[in-house]
Amino acid sequence: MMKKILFGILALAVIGGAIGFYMFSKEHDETADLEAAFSVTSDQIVQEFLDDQEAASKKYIDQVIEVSGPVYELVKTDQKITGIKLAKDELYLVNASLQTPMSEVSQEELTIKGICAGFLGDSESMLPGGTLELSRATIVNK
Amino acid sequence: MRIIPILFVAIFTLQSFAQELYFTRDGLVTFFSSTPVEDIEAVNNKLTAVLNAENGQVEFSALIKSFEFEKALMQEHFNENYMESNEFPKATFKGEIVDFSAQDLSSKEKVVVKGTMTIHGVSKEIEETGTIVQDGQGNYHIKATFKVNPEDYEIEIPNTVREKIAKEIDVTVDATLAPRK
Repeated sequence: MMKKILFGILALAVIGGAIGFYMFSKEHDETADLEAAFSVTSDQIVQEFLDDQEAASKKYIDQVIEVSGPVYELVKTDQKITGIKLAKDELYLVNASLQTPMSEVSQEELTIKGICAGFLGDSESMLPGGTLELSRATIVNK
Repeated sequence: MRIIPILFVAIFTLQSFAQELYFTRDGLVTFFSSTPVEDIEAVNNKLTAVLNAENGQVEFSALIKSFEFEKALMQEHFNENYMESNEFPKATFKGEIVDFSAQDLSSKEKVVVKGTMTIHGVSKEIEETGTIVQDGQGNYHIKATFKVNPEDYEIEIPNTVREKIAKEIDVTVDATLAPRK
């Protein structure tokens, strides 16, 4: 009987340890595999945050969202494209960092899917406008 | 006809106002915690940094949720347990360059910046040293390295992980600010 109990405790400890190790070493989810909760244009979503930051934060932050808009700038690190900005204006934009760096982006209009990290920009800032930030973004092929 | 010189002055004034602001939305801010148990690093490459080259005012802001960790669980704990980023979504610094002179800015490298740092909803007056260098294209490169003590900003670290997180976190800022168009 004692043997069985000890074996049970040992088995639980091994399973617990394995789950703990798996959780600790788990990488981020692939955004490409996640379904978007919202699909918007870059102008629309920036305006929503400018109109009511609190309500827009509750609606979008931590959600997977798809944003479409004109490519304003490609951000490069070590010759690779690591970020994409969607905007018509340098002060009102969606700033996305890519989950996987890319070597080329040729489209002038794009749809990007990413996790909404939040919005930077308020009336007290030295800089007018604002930026919606998307993390671990990926380009959606349409 | 009198309107033409007024318009000229107005346009000229607006242009000079726009040109004195330099900014980026792609600045890099990293933090590094080193203990014998574990090294923890997080990177945020979407730091907003603004410099008014006319009066020496500076502003930095970063979303806490834009800090990327290698491990998903670490990032989750950082946001939910320590930084409480839903309640305190950003870290900011607003201040000015000490002994600022607009004429000397392009030739001065080492600068002292003084102002208010707000992290986790707690504001603290700080003074730090950094460098500002102007390149051939007229951009300003800003670099700074300083230490942040989580306790100063009421960031509670549970005893169970206390030994894994350094008492002082090394923060590095690296940003290239272009003139506002």
